[in-house]
Amino acid sequence: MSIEAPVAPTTLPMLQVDGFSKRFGEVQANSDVRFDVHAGEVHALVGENGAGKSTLLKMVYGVYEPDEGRMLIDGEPVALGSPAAARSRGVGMVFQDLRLVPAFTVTENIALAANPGPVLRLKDLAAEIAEASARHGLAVHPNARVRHLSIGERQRVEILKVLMTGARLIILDEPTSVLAPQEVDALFAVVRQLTEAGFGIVIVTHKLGEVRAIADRVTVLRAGRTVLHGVDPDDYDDEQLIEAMVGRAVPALPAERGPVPPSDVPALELTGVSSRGDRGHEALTDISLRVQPGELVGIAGVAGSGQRELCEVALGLRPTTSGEVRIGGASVDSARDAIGAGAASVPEDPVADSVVRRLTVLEHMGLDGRRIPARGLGVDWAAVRARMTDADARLGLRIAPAKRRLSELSGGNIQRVILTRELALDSSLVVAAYPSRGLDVANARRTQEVLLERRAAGSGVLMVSEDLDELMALADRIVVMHDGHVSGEVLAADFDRQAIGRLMVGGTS
Amino acid sequence: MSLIIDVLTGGVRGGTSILYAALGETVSQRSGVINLGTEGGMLGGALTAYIIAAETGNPWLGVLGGGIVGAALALVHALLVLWRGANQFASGLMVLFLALGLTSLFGASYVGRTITPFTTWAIPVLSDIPVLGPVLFDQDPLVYLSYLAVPAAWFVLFRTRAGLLLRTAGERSDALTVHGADVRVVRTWAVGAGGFLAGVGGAHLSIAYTNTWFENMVAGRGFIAVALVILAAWGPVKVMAGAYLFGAALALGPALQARGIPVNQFLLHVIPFVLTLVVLAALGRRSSNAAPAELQRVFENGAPAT
Repeated sequence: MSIEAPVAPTTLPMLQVDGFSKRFGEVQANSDVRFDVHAGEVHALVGENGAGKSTLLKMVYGVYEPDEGRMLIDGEPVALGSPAAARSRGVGMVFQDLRLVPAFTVTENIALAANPGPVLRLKDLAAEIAEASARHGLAVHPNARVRHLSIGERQRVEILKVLMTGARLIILDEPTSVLAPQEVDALFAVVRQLTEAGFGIVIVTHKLGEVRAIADRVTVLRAGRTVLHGVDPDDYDDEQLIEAMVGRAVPALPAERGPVPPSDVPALELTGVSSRGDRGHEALTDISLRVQPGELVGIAGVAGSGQRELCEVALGLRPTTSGEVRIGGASVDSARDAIGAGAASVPEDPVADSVVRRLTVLEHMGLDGRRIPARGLGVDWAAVRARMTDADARLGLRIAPAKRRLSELSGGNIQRVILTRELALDSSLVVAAYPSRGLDVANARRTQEVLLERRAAGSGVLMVSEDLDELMALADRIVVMHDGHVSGEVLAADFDRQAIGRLMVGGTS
Repeated sequence: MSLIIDVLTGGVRGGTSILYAALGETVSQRSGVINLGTEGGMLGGALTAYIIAAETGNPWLGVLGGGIVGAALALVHALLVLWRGANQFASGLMVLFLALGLTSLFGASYVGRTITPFTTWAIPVLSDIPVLGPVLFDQDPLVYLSYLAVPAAWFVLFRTRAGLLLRTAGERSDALTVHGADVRVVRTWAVGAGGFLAGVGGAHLSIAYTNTWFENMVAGRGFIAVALVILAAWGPVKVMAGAYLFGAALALGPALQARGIPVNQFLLHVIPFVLTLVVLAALGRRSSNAAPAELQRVFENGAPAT
């Protein structure tokens, strides 16, 4: 006869991870990681890139097998060999890049996961989707084609899909990274409704504001280890949580900075600029914009609102259909004009736009648009190297060794090479798209400081970011784009998330 | 009037081999694989069906054999492209030349042999309808089978789980992986099934339409089928309409000649290809917007993502 104490079902975690370890070659991605989720709670999982979050989640979701450790679902040890097994145990995952098929309807996408028979029951399924979407407060139209949906709507489809496959524990992998503030609020409302209905939610994020807004508990991973395990975020302040993530204190940005000096000639001036996107549609409509020397202007907007085209037009990389672009008063019609006028650029997708994969870090340093130092008929590599060493010392982003090819570097390391090359230039204008993307907290902070240093040195800085907090911390002024138009402009003194968010979706502030 | 009926009847008869092949290519491309070897699959199917019909006297066995050889040739393409990472265009053309060589070699002794072909069989009542009757319902059994094959292909592609997985492989292969299906397995099935249809198309050509075998008898119909898939925007029903259009272009010459109207032989041969070019030029970008997204990758790196 057993004399175990009766365990109340509410105290038993839905998911309990006991000492997961996983090694990939030389890298110990997870070591002795602990994690658990109870029904009806939101558990935030935070950590820097490479801290082991996605390895942990992939083991939970059955993509990887742990080398050591075990996992319990409802108190019962399980060994998941595949995502299908995880789903059958009620574990569902909403991937950051949303694995929906754009050409399919909502119903077809959900049928992919939730239609057991050989023949599709599209009508029945559409009715079930409508019913489930009403029940969980996830408004979607079953017959809409996913390619016509906004990112927020697509995310709702993914969540609905996961719910309809019978998930009780839902993992949301960086769900807010692509959303406008209103959409984030709507998502969090859905998450609260789900936890009230008894679902367990894991939310992966690196934004502390979101942890505070939604999470009941937080687990911090660093270098594959559990630094904080399931603590109440209210017991820690931001500095403590950042220190837990980074392993050391990260100084806050200087709050005080000098005023923008008055100037007659703007560093960048766009007058009534329109331009076409890659698919031939009008991507920019009648944009007028000024960036003064010593001013940092932020560009906010939902992804795909014309930010990429704006940066390219400003740098002479994309032809305009009307209007005029001037850098430091000089008219710009080509990349050559822009470089000649002193522009530096950190592109949105450096790997596609700015990197020659087979060339080394040192060779990239020579490709900054300035005249390459020559020695006789060849290149004076010693001079290029000196330039690189100097840039690295000044910027402190610790770029990879000079001889490494870019194809061998991670996204974050590539970003640091491009940042170091471009931001070390004595430029009159910096156009930086998502400059801290892919960087860890310390390097992201350093990049922000460098941008402010460029501003203090008199460059005009145009910065695109998807992180409103980052823009609000850095910018003198935020210009909001919606569907290729400038939908509004907010000065630093009046920064307000909700107002900016309304402009991002095309409303008025 | 009789000229129109002759051209239309010939359009359906002559278009049926293209229809089968284009239907097969639709299935293949919907899964994300371009098979330029369709022409070769048709050749293999045509000769195999002819040999079997000649040796056994049973044209139905010929169709089956033709389909199997078509599938086998397509699976060579699938093996190279999906499992060995070869370039899709190079592999498809290789399969074509392989089939051209093999059929020339093994078909030489069958040139001029007589066979028991399919014969036309008028469907009672339906074939009495003016114009449509003789055009659609006074045909051979493989034509009737194609009337079933088109809606069947549509149903499988758009109303079954297998079709959904197949289209997902062509649209977004990483979404398929999440649902526990192997992209390469799905595509291999699709390419094989497409090759089977191409083989049946070839069989129609040799043992139902021309009732003869000669070297390179497919004469570009396989390439017309590939182009047809694109301008039919990967839809089975549009493929059917397009195939009959090309069939009619092919039937125009014989119909004119039968009436003693002199037309330049070479001009007639070139009509279907000119028609292809004209339609492609007219549709331009519009049809490529309907393209399965994964086909784009074919142009990026040669091999499909797996």
